[in-house]
Amino acid sequence: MILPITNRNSSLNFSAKEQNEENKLPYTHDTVLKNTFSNRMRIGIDKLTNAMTVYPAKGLSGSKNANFYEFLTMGMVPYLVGSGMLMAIFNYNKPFSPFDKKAASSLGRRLALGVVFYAVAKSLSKLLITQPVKWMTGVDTEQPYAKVQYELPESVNDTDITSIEYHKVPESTEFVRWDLMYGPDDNAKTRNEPYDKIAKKLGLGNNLNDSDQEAKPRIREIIIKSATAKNIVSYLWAATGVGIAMQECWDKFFNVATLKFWQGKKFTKSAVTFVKTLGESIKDFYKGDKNCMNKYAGKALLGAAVLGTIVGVANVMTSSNKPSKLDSADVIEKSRKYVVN
Amino acid sequence: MVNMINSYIQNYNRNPQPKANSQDVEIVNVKRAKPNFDINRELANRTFIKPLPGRGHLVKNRITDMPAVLVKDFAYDIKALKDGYTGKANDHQLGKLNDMGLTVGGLSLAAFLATLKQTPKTKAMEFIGLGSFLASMAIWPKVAIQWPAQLIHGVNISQKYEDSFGRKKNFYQDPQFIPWDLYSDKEINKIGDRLNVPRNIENRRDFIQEKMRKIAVQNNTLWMLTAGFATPVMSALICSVSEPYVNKYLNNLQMKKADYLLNHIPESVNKMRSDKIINNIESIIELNKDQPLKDDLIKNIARNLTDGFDALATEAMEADLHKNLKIDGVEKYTLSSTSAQSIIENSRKALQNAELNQKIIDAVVPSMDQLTQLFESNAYAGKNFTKLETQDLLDDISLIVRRNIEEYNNGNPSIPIRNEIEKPIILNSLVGAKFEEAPISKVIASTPAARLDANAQAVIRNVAKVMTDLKAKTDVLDKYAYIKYASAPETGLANYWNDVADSLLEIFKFTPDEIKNTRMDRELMTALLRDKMEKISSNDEEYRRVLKAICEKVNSLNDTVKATDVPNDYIRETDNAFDGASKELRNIKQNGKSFSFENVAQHLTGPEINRDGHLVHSDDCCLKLVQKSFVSDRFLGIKSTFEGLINSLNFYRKVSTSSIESLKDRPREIKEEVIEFAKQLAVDRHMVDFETKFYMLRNPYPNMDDLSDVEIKEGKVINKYLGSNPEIGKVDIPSDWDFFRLVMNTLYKEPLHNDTKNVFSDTNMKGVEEYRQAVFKEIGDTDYFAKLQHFVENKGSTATSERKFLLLGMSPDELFSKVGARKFNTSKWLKVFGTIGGALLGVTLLSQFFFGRLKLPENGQRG
Repeated sequence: MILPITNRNSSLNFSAKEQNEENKLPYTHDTVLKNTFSNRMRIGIDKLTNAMTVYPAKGLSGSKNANFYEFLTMGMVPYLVGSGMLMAIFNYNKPFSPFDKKAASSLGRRLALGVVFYAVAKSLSKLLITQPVKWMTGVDTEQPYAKVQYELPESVNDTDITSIEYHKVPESTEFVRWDLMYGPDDNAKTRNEPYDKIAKKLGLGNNLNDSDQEAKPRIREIIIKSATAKNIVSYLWAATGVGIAMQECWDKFFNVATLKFWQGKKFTKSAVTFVKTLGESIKDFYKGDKNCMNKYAGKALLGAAVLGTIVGVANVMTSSNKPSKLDSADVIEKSRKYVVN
Repeated sequence: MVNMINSYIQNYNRNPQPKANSQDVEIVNVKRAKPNFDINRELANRTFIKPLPGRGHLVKNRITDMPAVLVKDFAYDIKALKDGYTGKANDHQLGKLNDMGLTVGGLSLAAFLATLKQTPKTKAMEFIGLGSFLASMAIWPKVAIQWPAQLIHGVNISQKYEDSFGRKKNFYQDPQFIPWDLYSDKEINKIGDRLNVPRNIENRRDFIQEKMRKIAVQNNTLWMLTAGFATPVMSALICSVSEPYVNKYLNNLQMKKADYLLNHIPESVNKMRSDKIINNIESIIELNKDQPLKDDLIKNIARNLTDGFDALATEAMEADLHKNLKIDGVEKYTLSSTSAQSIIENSRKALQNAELNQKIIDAVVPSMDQLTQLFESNAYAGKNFTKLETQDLLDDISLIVRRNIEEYNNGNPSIPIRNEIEKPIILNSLVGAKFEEAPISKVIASTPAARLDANAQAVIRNVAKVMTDLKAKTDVLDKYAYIKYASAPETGLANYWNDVADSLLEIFKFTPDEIKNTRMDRELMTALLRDKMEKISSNDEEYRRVLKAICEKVNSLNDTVKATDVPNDYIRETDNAFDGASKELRNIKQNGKSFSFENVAQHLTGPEINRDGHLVHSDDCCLKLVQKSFVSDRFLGIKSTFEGLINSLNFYRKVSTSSIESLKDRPREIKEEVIEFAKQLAVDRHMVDFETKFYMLRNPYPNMDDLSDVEIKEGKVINKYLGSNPEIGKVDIPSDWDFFRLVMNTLYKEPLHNDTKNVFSDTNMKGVEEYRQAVFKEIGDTDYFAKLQHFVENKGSTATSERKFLLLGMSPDELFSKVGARKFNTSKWLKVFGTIGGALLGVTLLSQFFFGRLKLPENGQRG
């Protein structure tokens, strides 16, 4: 049977509400979103909420609409639950004797902080690659867009067959959403405007006839190279984060730390101590113990992360993909006859 | 392009063998392709018109393919990294790079954390932690999801396939794009049968596929929901379970490493040798060549020669250097070019401190000319002089001062230097009592005649060589002793200790509840342990079982550290190293002369004494004995603890079987008091010192008439007198030395119980008797151990505090208390997380039975 297809929540009601007050879906077609902090937060919360509620429900019922995006988004769940679980395992010392408890909790708290720092360092360190690349090339490798997904109706009564997925424009290196990178369709000039900017920044020239065609191979290369750097380097920064959290000076912080923000004075003191201890721990991490291998370990780990970042960004900026210099003679042989229908 | 192709095909088909000149496009040399796209060649081959057959296939690896698959996957990852770096990677390759990043980051983190740890095991556990975490990530979906799903439904939800480009992917990765064509009809139908799909329905394949998809989607979701709980728990459990094995493996490795050190002593010494002493001495020689051997210089040389040894060795070396580097063995002095200037400056300063008039000071202090004239006179020029001879020089300088005073007085008759007042002040200020401190003599004392000349340099170099050799050898011995016998975690003896101590809880049959209830308070453990020992000792079979098990465990020392006492090899090498060095130091040869560094030699090996006509080292304390005692002390401390426990058990057994001979003729009340006190002492031993020395549950006026035996029931004494008078609490009876002797006799002198002897003989247990004798004599005869003059045999023991401490070892209640707390922590932890893991596994497995449910098509179910 043919089912009604709509991209609106068009449930009929007979209330006194005005007829125009239909709850429109935020997007009616694939829409590029500004890569701002608030947008990223909103997308993150939306994805997390879905990962905890809608997607598991769909997955567990074996819905015909369950897809790879939902599966990947649900990957956030083990990440978060696992982090909480690790913290719990490290800090499970309630039944221990006071002396054992003290020794265990000192290490446990630092390990728990390590879990937090792992996640924070891993996610923030990606900015160390994406931001310089964005400034220098104009290519935003994290550009988000809302994708309107049309689903199969689950039942005859299911008229709401759209769902919104949040992807990134260069998410797939093989199928980059080039179409979303074009400007307004008004005329040729505005249409190619974003590509013009990128081409200019990349040194491909101004006022190119086909800036999109010139820039696309280079953009693809930038996306691949920065993804490579991100994939390797972010884990080195994450390891550095854990290393910093493992410094003994954090014990002092945990003695005064509180999350009770309503106790203003205590909370402020706690926050100030956190910043101070962070500085101290970075210093200790870098210096290490005088008498053992640890003296070099912090420097080596931090050095690897910094070096990896620099090499990663530098590699993005160097291109082997120069503009085509092929002579037309290589493509069309003038000595031959060609048939044109 | 399409037009070109169509046109070509039409022409080609119409005219299969056209003439070359009638063609629109000439086909020239189709075998060799033109650069870029050679349309002629493609058209001639006609291969591209039809799509190429797909090369994708399901991956079905057997276990034997694993190595090949690993290599292939690794090569793929490396290519992915290369392509990623050069900007040519595809999405699949970038996904692989993420896994690679996770591993690289994990390894660097584990390596970093390992540097924070001190011991091989804790270092290894960091990597095992990472490995177990990565393994758990892979194992959980297999064990809890993939295998159960396959068993229950017959569907492999983790099926992998390789696409036409050789990219390995999960078959059900994207439920919207499942490459069903890779499964043949036969295979799908087989799975359908397993899924109980009726054979005669329409579109059976589609129905089966949908069912398979549904099972895969449901299981993948379940995986995502459970992995977060399961992975950390599994990882922690894997680490917990693997720890004892890692411990055992590393212990064996460490013991082998230690044995290698002693079995290959020349190589080990060469490896350990550091030229620090020689290099430092060379720099000192370079800086102070031919300079006077002042005290500071000698001190510096001594300090560097004994680098790595104790402060007493440095003192001994300093004394020996003083003695050996003197000219003709006597302290001599000389004058240097700066001596005159220094004397003038020191004299001025001394007189200024005496608050004399500056005019007088200028006049009386010897001038440079006067001193130079004196020093260049025949009496002193170029000569070395002894301390006695120096007095003449001082007298001559004093004479100059006196002359200057006279001259001054002649020139200033109105304000002269008075004989009664200023003159003695001047002379006393300049002379002083001590040779090394008086203003003039100290200048001479600072210029000894002995210099760091070629001869002295050679002697020092020889000593440096001896000390370097000795240091290398002691370093090897220290390393060996540390690995095997230190108290640090994961050294041989420490591992043995843990192993035996842990097993005691099982041997004594402690229940989890007993451990839980006593873990916070040692006194609770004392009572429980006493109770257990009473029960064990009153049961013949149980006593033999427990004692046998303890003896066998204690005897495992040889398995753990490959030695039961200080090893002979260690003793031999220690003797060789120290005796050799000592001998060389007593006879350092240079220019045909022999120099003896006797003080250092004695510090290393003790003084030499004549025993039975042979020159041997005495038993005085020396570094050689210290080197040996490190190992023997460690053995003593550990063995004493376990032997003490065995002795306590034996005592309880003797009480339980009413066979204590020492108390035979004593009044019953005394028997009860001694047994009670000894029972408590056998368990908590030296818990607090004053408990042993002062107040005890006793009656100052016991009933001396009742000589009957004590009544014993199930190991416990049914007291008739003890504690019967509630008005008498714990008392102190300082004059009663007999009580202390009785306690010591009962515990340590009384012959062992026959059952104990039999078990010892069965298990070849040795050492307990020696332990009992040592405690009885060395502790029992200690001055003021229990009370002043309370000796067991009326002889003062010479045992040091350390010796007594080691002999007592750890008391049984403390031992059980510590082991109990550790065991409780581990088992509680395992119980909590084991339960979480188990429950999660249960829920996950159970879920399978609700998965893959699909209604059969309503219309035309049957075909």
